Amino acid sequence: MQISIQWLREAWLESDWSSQRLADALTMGGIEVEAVEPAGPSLADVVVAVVRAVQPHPQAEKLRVAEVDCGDGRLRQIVCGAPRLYPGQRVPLALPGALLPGNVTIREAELRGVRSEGMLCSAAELDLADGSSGLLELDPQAPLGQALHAYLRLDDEILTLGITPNRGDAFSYLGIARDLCALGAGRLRPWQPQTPAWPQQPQAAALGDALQIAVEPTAAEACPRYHALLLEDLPTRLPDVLRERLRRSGQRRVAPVVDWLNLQMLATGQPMHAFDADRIQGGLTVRWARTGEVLDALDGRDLMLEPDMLVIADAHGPVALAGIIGGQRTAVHDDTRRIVLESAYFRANAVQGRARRLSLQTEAATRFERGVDFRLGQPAAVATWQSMADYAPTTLLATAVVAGAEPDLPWIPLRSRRIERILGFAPSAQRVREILEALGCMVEVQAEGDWRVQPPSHRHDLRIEADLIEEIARINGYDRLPQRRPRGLLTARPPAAEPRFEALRAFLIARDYHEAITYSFISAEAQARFCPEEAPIALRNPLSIDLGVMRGSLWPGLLQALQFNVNRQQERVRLFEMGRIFRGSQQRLHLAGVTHGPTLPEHWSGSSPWCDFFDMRGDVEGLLRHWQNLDLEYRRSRNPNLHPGQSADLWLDGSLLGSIGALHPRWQDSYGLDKAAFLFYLDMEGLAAYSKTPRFRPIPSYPALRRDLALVVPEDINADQVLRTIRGAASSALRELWIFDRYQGSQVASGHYGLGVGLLLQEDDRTLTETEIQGELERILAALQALGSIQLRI
Amino acid sequence: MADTESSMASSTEIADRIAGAPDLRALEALRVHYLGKKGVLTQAIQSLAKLEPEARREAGQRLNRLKGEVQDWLEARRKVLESQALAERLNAESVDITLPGRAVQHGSLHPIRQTLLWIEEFFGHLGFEVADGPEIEDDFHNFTALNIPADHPARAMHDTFYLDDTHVLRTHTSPVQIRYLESHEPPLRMIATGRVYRRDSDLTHTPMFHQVEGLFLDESVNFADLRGLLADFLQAFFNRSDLPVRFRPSYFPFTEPSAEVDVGCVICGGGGCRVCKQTGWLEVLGCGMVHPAVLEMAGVDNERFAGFAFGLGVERLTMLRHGVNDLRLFFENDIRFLRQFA
Repeated sequence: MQISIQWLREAWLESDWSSQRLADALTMGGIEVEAVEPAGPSLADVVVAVVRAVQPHPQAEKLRVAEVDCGDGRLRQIVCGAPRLYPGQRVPLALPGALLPGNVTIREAELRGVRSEGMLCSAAELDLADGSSGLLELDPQAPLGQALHAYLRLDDEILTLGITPNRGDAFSYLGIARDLCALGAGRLRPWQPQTPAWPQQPQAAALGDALQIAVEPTAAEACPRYHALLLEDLPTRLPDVLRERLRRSGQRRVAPVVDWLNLQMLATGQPMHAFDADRIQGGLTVRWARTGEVLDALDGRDLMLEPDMLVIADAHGPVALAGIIGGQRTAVHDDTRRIVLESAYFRANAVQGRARRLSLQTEAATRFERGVDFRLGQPAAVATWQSMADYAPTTLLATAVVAGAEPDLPWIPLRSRRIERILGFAPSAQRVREILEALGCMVEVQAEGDWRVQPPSHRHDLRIEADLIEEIARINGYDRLPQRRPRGLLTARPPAAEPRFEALRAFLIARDYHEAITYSFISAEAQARFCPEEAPIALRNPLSIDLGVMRGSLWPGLLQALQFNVNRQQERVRLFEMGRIFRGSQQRLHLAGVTHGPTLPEHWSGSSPWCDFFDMRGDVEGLLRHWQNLDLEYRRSRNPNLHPGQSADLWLDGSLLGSIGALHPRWQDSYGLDKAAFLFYLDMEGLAAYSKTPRFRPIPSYPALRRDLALVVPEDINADQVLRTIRGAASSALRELWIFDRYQGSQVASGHYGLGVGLLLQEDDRTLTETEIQGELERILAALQALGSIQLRI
Repeated sequence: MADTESSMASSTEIADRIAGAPDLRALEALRVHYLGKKGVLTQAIQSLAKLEPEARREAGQRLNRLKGEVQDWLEARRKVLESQALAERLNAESVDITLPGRAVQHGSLHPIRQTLLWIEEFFGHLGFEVADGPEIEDDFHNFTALNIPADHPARAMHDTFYLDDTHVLRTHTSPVQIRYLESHEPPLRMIATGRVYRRDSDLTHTPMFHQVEGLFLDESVNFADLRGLLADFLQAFFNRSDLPVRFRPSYFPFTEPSAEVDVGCVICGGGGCRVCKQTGWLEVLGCGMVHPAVLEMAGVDNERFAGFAFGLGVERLTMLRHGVNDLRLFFENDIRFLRQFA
C-alpha cells in the first residue's frame, strides 16, 4: 500500500513529527516503510494554461495548432498531437526551458513548418501517470499561470508500506493514522460524519420504491451487516485534488464514481461497490452461490462460482462476488444515472481463499480477507456520499440497512506475570492500560496484575493473550525491551555417528572435488533417462518443464553443472553433491560425484592421463574407508546410462549401495562432451548401518612373510573371484592380500590374463614355518584350480 | 738402499702430488702407488731389512715418518675431495623451488555449505541439536501445524510448489520444528538446516534456497533471550562486535510476538547504498516467541514451556558475508566461482 503524507496529515493525523520520523515510527512499529519517494518531479516552467482556440495544422493531419493562455497577457501558439483538444480546456503547459522527466528540455521549435512555443503535457510526460492517456485535463478553476508543482501541491512524499497479513486494519489512511497515534505521533483528526444510525431490518429492507435489499438467512452469519444507499446525480469528473490522492495512493483511475469509492476505501478501509441501480432486476440479495452459476466479472472473465462463495444476486443471478469483485451486467457506465452504493461487512472467513481460487487479487478481497471493521459500513458510505456532494449535486434518495445484532467482541484475559514470562519485563499496570487504550481497547481490572481486555472492532487480529502481549511489546518498541543471554540446561548428547559428513566432504575436497549444489527438480526427460524404472514425482505447478519433476538421481544435476563448466572452457571438472533424491515415498540422502579431464591438473613435470574408471573407483574406495571394512561386491552395472564395460554396481548384504562408471558414450553428445566423464553415487542411508567404530587388534610380534603368486587366469574369471577364493581357502594366517600386477599379451595364453597376487602371512603366537606356508599355498592353489583352470605361471 | 731412496721422489714432491690429486680415483691410485702392497714406500720399508742395524734404524725412522705424513696427506686430500664431490652432487640435485608442487589445486566446500556449517557449529556449541526433516512435506506440517490454516492470507506469503492435494515442497524449515516436537519433550534446543522451495524466480529469488530454523523451549526463556542470542549470533557471523542489530515488529503465523531482524548494512556501514536500498539496514532474519497455538497443537503445555523460534535465509547471509552480488551464482556451480571459496 502507498500513502501520501500530505493527505495523511490533512485529513487523518495531526502531528508535528517530520515525515522521516513518521516513517521510522511506522517501520519500528511493525508497518515496514519500504520506500519514501517524492510525489512528483519539480516541473519548473510547467504552468497551468487554458486552450483558447484550436486550428488544424496546415501540413500535418495528426497535429493541431492551439492558442494557449497562461495568464501572462499573451497567447502562445502550441503545436499539439493530442486527440482531445478543445477551447476552454485547462492543461499543463511546458514553457520553453522547462525540464521534463527523462531529461527532456522543452524549446521553441518549428513543427512541420509551424512555430510551437512550448508543449502541452500528458500525465505520463510529467511523471504523474494515473492510467489515463491524452492531455492531463485540469480543473476548470485551476489558476492560470500557476506553477503546476504548486497547483498540484507536489511537495509531498509517498510512503510504500509493507503490511503484514494480520493487519487488515492498516490498509487505510485511517488505520495508519490510528497506529501512528498509538505510537505517540499525535492525534487522530475527527472524520466520522455526524448522522444518526439508520433503522435496520434483520432480513430485508426496501431501498426506495423499486428495489429490495435482502440477506438470506443462511448468509446472515457471513454477511452480518449490509448498507445500501441509492444515489442520484453522480460526479462525472474526478477533481484534481482527488485524482492526485488516488495516484499517490497507488490506485489506477477507472471511472469517476468507482474512483470515488476507491478513494474512500483507501481512506477508511471499507471496500464499497457501486451497482447501476437501473440495471438491477428487482433487488439485491446476499446469498451463497448455486452450483453452476457464473459471474461475468469486471475483469472480463466469466467466473465459475462454487457453493461456498458468497454472492450478491438480483433476479437474474449473481451481480457481484461478495467482497471480491463486481459483475459487468450491473457495472457503472458513463450513462449511469443512479447507483446502489454497497457498504457491507463480509466476514473474513466468507471471503478468504475464494479470490485465490479464482486467480484474482482485488483491493476489496485483500481487506475483507484480513478483516474489515464491522462498524465502518455506515460512516464510510455516508462519507462517500458527502464527498461526492462536495463536487456534484449528488443526492441520497434512499437507504437500506439489513443487519442483525452486532458481532460480539471478545474479552481477552491478560496477566502481568505472563507479559513478564514472554517479554522478560513487566511494564507497570498504568503503562499496560495506556498502551491498550491507545489502541482502542477497553481495559478492565480483574485483580492486581490481572485484566480483561476488549479489542476495538477494527482489530480482528487481537483474540488471545499473546496478541495483546505482542501489542504491548510493539507499542513499547522492541528496541526498548530488555536484552540478555539465554540460560539453558546443559543437555548432553552424543555427536553424530561416524563417518561425519564433514569428513567425507573433506576427503573429496582433498581429492580436488568442488562441492556443487544443484536444484532438486529436473526435467522429466532427464528423470526418465536416469531413473527409467521409477514413476516420476512431478510438481503440479513447476516453474518450467526443465524443473518439472523431483530428481531420482543426483547425476543429471551434476552432469548439467559439468556441461555448464565445459562450455566455459573448463575441461578439468570434478564436482560432488550431497543431497536428497526422491523415489516413491522415499527421500534418501545420496552422495554423488562427476569427474572429467586429466587425473591431475596440468603440471610442468609431465602430463597426466585422462581420468578413468580406476581413478574414480579409487576415490570411491577412499570414501568407503570411512565406514567399517565393507566387503563390497562390484558387479557389472546394468545402468543404461553407464558404459557397460566400465561401470559397476556396489552390493553389500543384498543391497545396492551405489554405482560408479563412465557416462555411456551415447549421452556424451547431449552434454556437449567429447571425452569420457565418470560418475559415482553412494546411498548414504544404506551405508548408515555400517557406521564405523574401529576394533583394536594386537600388533603381532612375530614376523610377517610375503609370498607372491603369479597366476594365469581365464578371462571369464575376474580378479575379485580370485581374491575371494584365496581368502576363502586361506587360514587366519593370511593377513593381507593384494594385486600387484595384471597383464595381458604374448606372455600368457590367449583367453587368459596374468595376475600377480601378493600375500602377507603371519601368526600372532609364533613364526610361521616354511612347511606351514607351503601348506597354506597348496590349499590356495587347490581352491583356485577348483574355481577354474587357474595355473601358476612358471 | 740409496737406490730405493733415490728412486723415490722427495717428500715435498709427494705432498704436492697428493695435494694435486684431481679426484678420489686419482687419490686412490696415489695411495696404492705409495702405500699399497707393492707401493714404493711399502717396498722401501720392506727393503730396510737388508740394511745394517744402525742404518736400518735411522732409515726406518725416516721412512715411517714419511709413511705417516703420506697417510695424513692422503686423508686430508680425501676429505677435501669428498666434500667437493658432495657439494657437486648437491649442486646437481638442486631444483627450482619456485616451481609449483603437484596437485596444486584443491577442491572446495560450497559457500552455502560453509555458512550452514558455521551456523550449525555456532548453535551446536550452545547445545542446539541439529535436526532434519523431509523436503517433500505434508500440508499439515508445512502449514496447519504452524498456525497457517488453509484459506488464510498468510499462505499467500509462500508461493508453494504442490505435488498433490496434500503434499508440497516445504516452503520453509519450520516444519522441522513440528517434527522435532513430535519426538522430543521440552526443554529443548534445536536447529534445522536445509533446502526449501518457493515458486519464484528472478534476480533476487531462486526456486530453491536454504534456510536455518532454530527452536528453544524451556521454562524461562523469553524475548529478551531471543534478542541477546541473535545479536550475539549476527555479531559473530559478521565478525563485528559493534554491528548494530535491531528488532522490528513483524508477523509470522507461528510466532507471537514476531520480529524481523536488521543489521547495520555491512556493505556501506550504514550510510546507505544499493544493497540496503539506502536505508542503512539489511533484513537478515525473522523470529519470535513460539505462538501458543503451535505449542498447543504439538501437545506442549504452553503455560509451563515457552520459547522462541527463528529462521534465516542462508543465501542472503552468504552473499553479505562474501560480497557475492548475484544469487544465481550459487546454483550454477561454475568452478571458477566455487574455487574462490577453497
